[in-house]
Amino acid sequence: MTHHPAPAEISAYVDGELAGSDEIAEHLRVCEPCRAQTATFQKIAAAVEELPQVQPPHDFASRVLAHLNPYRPVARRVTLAASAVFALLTLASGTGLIAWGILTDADIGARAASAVTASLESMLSVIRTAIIVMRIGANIAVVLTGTVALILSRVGSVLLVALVLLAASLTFLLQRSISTYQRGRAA
Amino acid sequence: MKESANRGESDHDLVKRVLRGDKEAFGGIMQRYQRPIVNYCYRMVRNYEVSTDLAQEVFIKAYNSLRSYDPRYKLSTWLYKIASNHLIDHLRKKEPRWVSIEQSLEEGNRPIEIRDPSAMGERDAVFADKQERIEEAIMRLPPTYRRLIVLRHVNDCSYEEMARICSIPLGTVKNRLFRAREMLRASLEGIL
Repeated sequence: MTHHPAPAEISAYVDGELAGSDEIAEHLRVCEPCRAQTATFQKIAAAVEELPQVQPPHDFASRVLAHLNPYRPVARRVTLAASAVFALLTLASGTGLIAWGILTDADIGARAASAVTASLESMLSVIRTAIIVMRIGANIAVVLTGTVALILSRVGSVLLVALVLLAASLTFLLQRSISTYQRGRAA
Repeated sequence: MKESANRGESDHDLVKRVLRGDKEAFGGIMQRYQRPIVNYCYRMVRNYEVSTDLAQEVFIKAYNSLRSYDPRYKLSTWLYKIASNHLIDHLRKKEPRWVSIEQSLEEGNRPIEIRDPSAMGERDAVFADKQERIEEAIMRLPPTYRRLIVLRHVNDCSYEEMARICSIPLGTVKNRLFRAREMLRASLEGIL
């Protein structure tokens, strides 16, 4: 190397962070000003490195730990996420059930009223009325429980939602069975 | 804290334990890095109480964002990056007026208050005075330059680590370190 290296290059050379440092070393052997600059940077580095280090307080770590809450394990997070998704699906399906009921059974109130009247005639009609009410109630319960499960996102809520869904399904099946039985009798 | 139990574990193992819910494993991480982080903070603010408070905040921030740690890089680099950003924020709030590099170079020659040497031996007093002047010279550096000097000479970081910590290109690290050294040279004329 014949030309003087840039001062920033000498600075990096002092830190051992320069590619091609052999060329600079070669130059320094023959160039007094560059050698002086290298020595200055080395003195600055040494002066800063010689400064005393401070010690953290003995209770440093315990003070920090007192501010921290433990992480929730990933498996638990996945369960919670799954329960939230499940609750959302339940909420959507419950809302859908009610919407379907309103769209397809616009005269549901009238049917309930006629069922009440019919209940005076036969015990089966009373049960049928109860089932209609239960069906509406179950749909509302699904929506409400789904909302609660979504808010709480707890495993227990998921089980509760599952139970309500099961009850709703059983009610529906029971209603279908009774209708089939009644149609059979009428025939 | 299970200090001895943490000794054989890698940083990444400790991080995994923390993320599995073992809060105490973070104590192992702090045992390793509290001293360098406190010293980094101290050399940036030169106030022991403030520096330990800042270092605590750094570790709390690190804990709360531990999921974002990329294990491909050294944990120390990640911690220094958090500390660096936190310190710069702190210094911005503390120092509304930033000086230009040129101005800082000019101010480097102003007289520095010297401590009364009568309370200590003459040799000790001279040494202490020299250290005092070096510390003051470092404190006169603009924060973005000061942190490079501290990271390099107190925390022994490589240029590549400093580039990552400060989010600047390698060339900028090299140039700023050179400028910082020039400022220190001007400040410390006659005592080096």
